[in-house]
Amino acid sequence: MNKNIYCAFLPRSPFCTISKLTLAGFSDKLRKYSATVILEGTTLFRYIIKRILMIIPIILGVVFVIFLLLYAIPSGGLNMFPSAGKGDALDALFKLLHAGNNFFTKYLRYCYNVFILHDFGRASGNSLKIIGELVMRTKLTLLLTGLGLAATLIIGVPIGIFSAVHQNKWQDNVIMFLVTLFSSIPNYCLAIILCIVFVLKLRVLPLIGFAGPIYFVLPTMTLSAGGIASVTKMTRASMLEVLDQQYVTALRSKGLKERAVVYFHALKNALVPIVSVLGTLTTQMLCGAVVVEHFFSIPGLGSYLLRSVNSRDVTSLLGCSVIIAFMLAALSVITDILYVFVDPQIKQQYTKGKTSALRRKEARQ
Amino acid sequence: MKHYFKKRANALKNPEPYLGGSPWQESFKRLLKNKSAIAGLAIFVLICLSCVFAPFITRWDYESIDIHNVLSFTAPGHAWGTDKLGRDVLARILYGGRITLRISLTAAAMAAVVGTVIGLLAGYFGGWVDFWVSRFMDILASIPAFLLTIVVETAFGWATGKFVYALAIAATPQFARLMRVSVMNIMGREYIEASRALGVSHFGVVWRHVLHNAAAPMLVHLTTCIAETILNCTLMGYLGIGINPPTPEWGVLVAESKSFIRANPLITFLRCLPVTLSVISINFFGNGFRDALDPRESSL
Amino acid sequence: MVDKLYQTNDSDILLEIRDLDVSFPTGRGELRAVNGISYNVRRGEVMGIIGESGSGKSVEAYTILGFLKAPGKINAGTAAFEGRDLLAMSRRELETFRGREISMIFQNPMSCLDPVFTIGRQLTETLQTHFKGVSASQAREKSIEMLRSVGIRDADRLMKRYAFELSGGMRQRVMIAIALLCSPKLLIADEPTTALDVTTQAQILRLLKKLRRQTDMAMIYITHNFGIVAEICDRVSVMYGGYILEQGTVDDMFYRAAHPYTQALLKAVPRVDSLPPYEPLIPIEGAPVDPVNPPDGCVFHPRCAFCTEICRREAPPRTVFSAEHSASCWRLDGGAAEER
Repeated sequence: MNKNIYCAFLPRSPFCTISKLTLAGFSDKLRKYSATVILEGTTLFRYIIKRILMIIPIILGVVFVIFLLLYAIPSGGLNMFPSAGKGDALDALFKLLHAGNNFFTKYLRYCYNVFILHDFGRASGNSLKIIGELVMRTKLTLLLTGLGLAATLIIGVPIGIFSAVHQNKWQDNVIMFLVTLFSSIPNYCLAIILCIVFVLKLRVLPLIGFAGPIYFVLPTMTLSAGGIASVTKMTRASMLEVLDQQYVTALRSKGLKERAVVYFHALKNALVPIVSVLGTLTTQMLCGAVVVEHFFSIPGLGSYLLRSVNSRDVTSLLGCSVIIAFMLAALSVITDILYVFVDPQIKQQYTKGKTSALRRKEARQ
Repeated sequence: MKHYFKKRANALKNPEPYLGGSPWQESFKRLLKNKSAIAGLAIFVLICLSCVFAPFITRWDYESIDIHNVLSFTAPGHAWGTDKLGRDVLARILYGGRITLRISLTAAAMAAVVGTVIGLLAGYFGGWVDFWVSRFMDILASIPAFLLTIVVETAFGWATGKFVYALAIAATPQFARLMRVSVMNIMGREYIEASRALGVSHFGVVWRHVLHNAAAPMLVHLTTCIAETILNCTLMGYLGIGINPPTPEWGVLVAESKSFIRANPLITFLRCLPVTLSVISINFFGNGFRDALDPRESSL
Repeated sequence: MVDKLYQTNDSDILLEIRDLDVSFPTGRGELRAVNGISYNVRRGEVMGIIGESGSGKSVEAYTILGFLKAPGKINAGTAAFEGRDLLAMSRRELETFRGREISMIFQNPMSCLDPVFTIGRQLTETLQTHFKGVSASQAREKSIEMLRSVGIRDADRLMKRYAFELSGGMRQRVMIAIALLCSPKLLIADEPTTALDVTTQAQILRLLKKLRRQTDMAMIYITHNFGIVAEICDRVSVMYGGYILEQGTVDDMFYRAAHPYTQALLKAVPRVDSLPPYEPLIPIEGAPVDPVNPPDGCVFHPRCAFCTEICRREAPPRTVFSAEHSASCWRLDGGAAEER
């Protein structure tokens, strides 16, 4: 079978890709097609596909847990009946009642709607499908989180290195004190303090509004402060660990410049644990985004989540949860792919065939 | 976690100055030497005590209204001024601390106990118990604590009593995972096999070896967890989920003060203090505590 | 007397260490790792430093290249390399010496190569650091040549591989290749074969001997193994508790060992060539010296079979037997014997 047949199935959106690939997992025939695609690709491509496929059970699991928790909701259960996509809500309700109105049918129905039909249901109180709003808000939150992440890494990693290089000197002590301070201040308190300083006292930044990059400065600062603290801490710990290794002494014994040792060799080694905190960091960012969006009145996913909680709108809450879960799962894939570039040992695991041949050759020598 | 034991092993190879006594006593002595940790602990205890003994510190009730002094920073008799309804700010903060700290500490304790038991069972018995429990915990842990709290809360309904459960459930998976890893690590050691061979019961092994050896990382995580739960709890209060005004929870107080940030930023700032201060002090204590238990760890 | 020995103004002397004193402040007090040791290394010769763990032999070697770990400090001493004091150099000056003039190979080859860069990269960057004009392809060629000369056949392919893909022996070969890349005048080998299995040990040792013959490079070989000393060294210093107790040529050591510690060490080494009736192996009783609370007097006296009153009180002077051979022990000191 050739690739083209499978490509005909390949849809445009990531959700659809995943649902199709899920199908591929279930159906033998499709699995064969996907196998041809996978085998034709390079090993790295194969690895990436594998990791993407692993998102599916994670997301299904997360949705399951959240669904399970919300199923127990005392009053708001009505909203949770997923619409079948045609007819009005009541129609669907009766239909579903008829079809056996238990937890699993609802769960499957919901998953089918979300992952196959891309229908997140309708908000309570109006008949609009929430998908449009979700997408719009997700874009904004992604932008905000992306800015926060970028600021975090750009600022946190150098500070961490600096701190590690000056271990136990006053610079390091000051930095570590600030790190503990900033990782302890709640987001909303920081927002208030920044707001007092920059908006009320210094009058250099606008508080609320949405008309240009300058409006993103305060939110990004608030969002990234905690992240910078944890990245600094992590970078410092990991740099210290690396700088303590014998190969660093060996590198110095070769006569490499101290700068090359620290910023080139040690940093690349220290990146492995830094990459591994990206996941936690993004979780932190998403959580922070809720507060920041609330405080600065940014119409993102976080404020939508809050609104849906406050209005007990389970459909929207579930929708937000699915998107957040998807973002986190996607990030874990990105992290794993980054690992490949950072740590050759992992790369080697996925190009095994070649190296084991090499090893055999070496054994013969 | 593996890391932790590796470092422990290194610590054994290059022993720090031996201060005498059992490892625990030694750690305790090291902790006492750490000034920032002791200061952190002292501040946190002080905050807790002043909340407990709030009636002795302020004569105002957190709900009583002083109609003559509304939103005044210099009102006579009100040390920290009054809010826009004429309620004493200090009283509200102190009584609010009772609520915040009670909820957070209870939730952290519940999470610690439940998480430890779950992790212990999964790690000790392994097999299918371990498989399903750890899969479930992985999924729970992959949901951000904040989102999990919101969902649990929405599910259970909004009431302070149930709010505790929401926070506890969100904090449990970390404990369970940590415990499971340490138990599995300890179970691989020879001395476990040796004591099993000597006829020590399951309970005996768990109590004598597993729990005692896993205690250090768990206690360190407990301090982190308390700080996180306080943050989470006040965050919910701030966002008005689960705890709403007029309950004087710390987060709620901050949210209330947002409306007069222009009029009197100092009041707003003061209201951020209690939560920030308690979390900072716990974190300083936690850092010192971790260093004391594991001297090889860099002083983060 | 000590001074006389070291003032022999030999133009052959490559590295001269004088009164080196290194200590580490610890919670229990000052840990005295190296207590005023002096020795020299001539061009093209192999100086062996032998001692048990904790005798300060590695610390001393690390100090020469400026690798003393954080709390450690140099209290006194000089290390003159071709007349320039390495210990007084700035870090930047030292960097030009490391790898170019003095190289080092380490005990554990498993952890001595950077795990995230290819072997080739680690070789070529050494060349390109020390020789500014070297092009990438030249560096590569030279590296491959070097790898071949340390006995790696598949050098081309090895350049693209990572450290974790290699065996311990291979890694040590790569380390040696890196160390010798810029043809240094002195190689410090810190127990380079200890972590390897016996057959690999023999191969590496043979390789080092061969390379030494080819390049006329001096070596400081640190070990705790008398067999290796006999195999590769020209001269030997015996270290114990931060002191050099005896110094001499290999023949001095094996046939005319003067110090009780050296004698005891030799008795504790199994011999292949011994004939029946076999002499029993005699272990040295007692525990190694505690460097924070060293004993008064002679550092070895608590474990010495010939310990006398004066040994407990005063440190022994150095007794010189020949231009090369000297030892520090009251038993060898004529004056003390009379006193007794």
